[in-house]
Amino acid sequence: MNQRIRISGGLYAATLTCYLHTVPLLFVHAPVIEKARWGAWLSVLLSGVVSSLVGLLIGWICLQFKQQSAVQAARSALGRFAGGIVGLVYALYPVWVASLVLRDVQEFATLILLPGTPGLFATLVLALVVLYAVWNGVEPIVRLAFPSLVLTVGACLILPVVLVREFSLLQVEPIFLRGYLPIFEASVSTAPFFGEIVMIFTLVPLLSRPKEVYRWTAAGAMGTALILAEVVLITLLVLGPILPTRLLFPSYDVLQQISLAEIIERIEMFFVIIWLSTMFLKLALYVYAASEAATDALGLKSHRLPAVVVLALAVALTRTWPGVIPLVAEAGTPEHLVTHTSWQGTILLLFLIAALVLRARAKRRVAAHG
Amino acid sequence: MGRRLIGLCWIALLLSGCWSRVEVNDLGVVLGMAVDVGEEAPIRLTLLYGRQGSGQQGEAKPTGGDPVWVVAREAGNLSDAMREIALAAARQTSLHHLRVVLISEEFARRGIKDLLDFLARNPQARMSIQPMVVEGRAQTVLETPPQLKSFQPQNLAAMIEEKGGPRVTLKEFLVARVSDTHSGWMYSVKVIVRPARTPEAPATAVTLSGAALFEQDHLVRLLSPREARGLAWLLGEPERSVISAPCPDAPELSFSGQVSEGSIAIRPTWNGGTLGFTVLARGKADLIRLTCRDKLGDPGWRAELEKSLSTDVKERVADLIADLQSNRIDSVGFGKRVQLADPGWWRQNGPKWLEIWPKTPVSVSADIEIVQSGLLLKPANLTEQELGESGE
Repeated sequence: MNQRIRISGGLYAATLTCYLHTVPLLFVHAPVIEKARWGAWLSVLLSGVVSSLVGLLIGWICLQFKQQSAVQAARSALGRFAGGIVGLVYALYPVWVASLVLRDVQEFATLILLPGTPGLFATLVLALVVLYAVWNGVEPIVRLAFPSLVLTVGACLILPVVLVREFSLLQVEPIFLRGYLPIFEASVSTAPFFGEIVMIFTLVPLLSRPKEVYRWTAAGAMGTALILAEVVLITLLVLGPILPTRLLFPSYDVLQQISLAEIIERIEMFFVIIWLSTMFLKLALYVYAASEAATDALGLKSHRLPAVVVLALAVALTRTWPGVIPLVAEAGTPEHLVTHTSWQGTILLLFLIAALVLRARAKRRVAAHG
Repeated sequence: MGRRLIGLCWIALLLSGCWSRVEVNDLGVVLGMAVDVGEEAPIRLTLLYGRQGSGQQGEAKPTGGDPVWVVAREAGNLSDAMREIALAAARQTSLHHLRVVLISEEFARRGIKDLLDFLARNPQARMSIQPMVVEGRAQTVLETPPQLKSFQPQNLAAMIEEKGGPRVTLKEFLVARVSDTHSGWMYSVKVIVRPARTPEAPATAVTLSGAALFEQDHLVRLLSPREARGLAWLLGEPERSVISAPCPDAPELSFSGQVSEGSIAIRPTWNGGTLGFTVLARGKADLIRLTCRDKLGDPGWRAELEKSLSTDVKERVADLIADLQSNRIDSVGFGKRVQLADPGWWRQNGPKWLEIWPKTPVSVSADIEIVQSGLLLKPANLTEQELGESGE
């Protein structure tokens, strides 16, 4: 196990927010707006509340692990072999999701940013940058979180002002036009995105003040929900409740509408750069989490070799995914929901069992000494 | 040392430029597109390319020669027509700076579904493109030299901008196209023979000719400039439009006001369960011409002028609403107001909205206030009445 750095609660929350919001920023619109129409932003807020509750549970689990990493604790609780298996299950999830995210970025880059660039080349460049960050541990990754979050919040504050000309009554709709149930259904469809909060099993043990985990986890999850709810609301105000469900990247289309006095326009790339920084942070965190979990599960000394293997696996997996249309179309479908949440739920359940075993063991120890 | 070497290699990789870079000199920048019904094939596509070094944004080209290249091809569909044009182009066609898409009336009446899909799907085309219907052949608009700008597409965009009133971009039209509460519209233009020109000036010019109303992706109705001003009122953006009305005491004389502020309040009402609408157009106008007696200091007299302007606006708006109802189109969003006011009613009746709308009673009123009268207190010339009084 590497010597761990400690991160402040604020940095932890910033990392969590950047990590959680970046992928749904691109893909959450279609499933939530299709189901909840103008109530979509409310669904996103609701998802944030549920995600906070899950985060609090994870925080409680991590507190039972004391200063150990989640995988180390699982090994202590369940034994080296079973704990190692739990660690590998936890490590494989970010590998899988990282490969999906890498493919998402590749598709966005080759379609919008660098058309004509071979997808594999774009993926490899990104993977190498990620490896460079992960090589030195979690510190460079979380340090990126604060400036990324400041820029993201700044963008969120500016967007309504620069897009106000595009808002129209004709794009507004009653929030509960389809009743209350679609709001909840849409919220459920975001579970795969918000469920990625399970990756904080890697971050919580690094908190400098572990007991503040509840406060900062809730702040990170609700910060994510607020950012996403605002972006969904702006998308609805600019594009109405039907058009976004037909667009591949509605957020990008919204950014393209920015035009101030016919002089300041075509500035969407500034926002894309901010988004790319959070995407980079997310990928790096996946790779770090997977490599650290594998290191602990296999009892290795350094996370560097596992990081190379994890990235190589993720890059190799990207080649097996279909193009962008199935990837986007999949978001919000029952298959997408079941695949992601069952994996996330399994991780949560396994570590919960480990925590309960450790807690029971500690109680027995206290009782024996008492 | 090893790390530095890796770092240097890394920087070299990142600074080596985009894989897909295209030099500016190799780009053929399309500024305008026109779509007509073809003579030998279903579609005739015309593109206007800006030539390199031909000036930007209204600056005239100093070196002479044609600053644009207008090229047209006919094909079975838009993609094939684009391909045909690309065969004749020595540069890579780029739609990144496409400003206007002109659609001939005939093509628009047949439906613009394919065109909308083509534009919305193309990563280079932006949703801020301004679509317009052309009365006549769309190609001729791109062939006509612009009046006050270097390129016709910029000229058209500037004409709409300077005129004031509501904007219509591809985004607005797409939103309306997929909406279940309102339908789309766009400005219309036409080529006219110039009534006044210098000897070297071109014989024709392009002018805004009103607006085109669509139902789904089919053109249904072309509005005259007067009717289009009624549309601007109904959309709540009548600023800079001019209202002319007869003088209250002498109908053979008239006066004009320019609208400085305007708004519309469209409210659905249910009288005994029957849906209706009340429409109130409010505005502030500045007098820019007055041939009637000028007693603006007299509040009663000013109120009569305001009433006269209000009547004109009310008639315009009421006529347009009757027109929309007879054509079974809702370009303004009356359905949207109902949906917002009573979602339950809309859930039940929304799908039948275009059947309900033509039979729905609409009560229109207008309230125009005169706030300024230019730099004159009285008419610059003595009025007939004053002349009569002085002769006595």
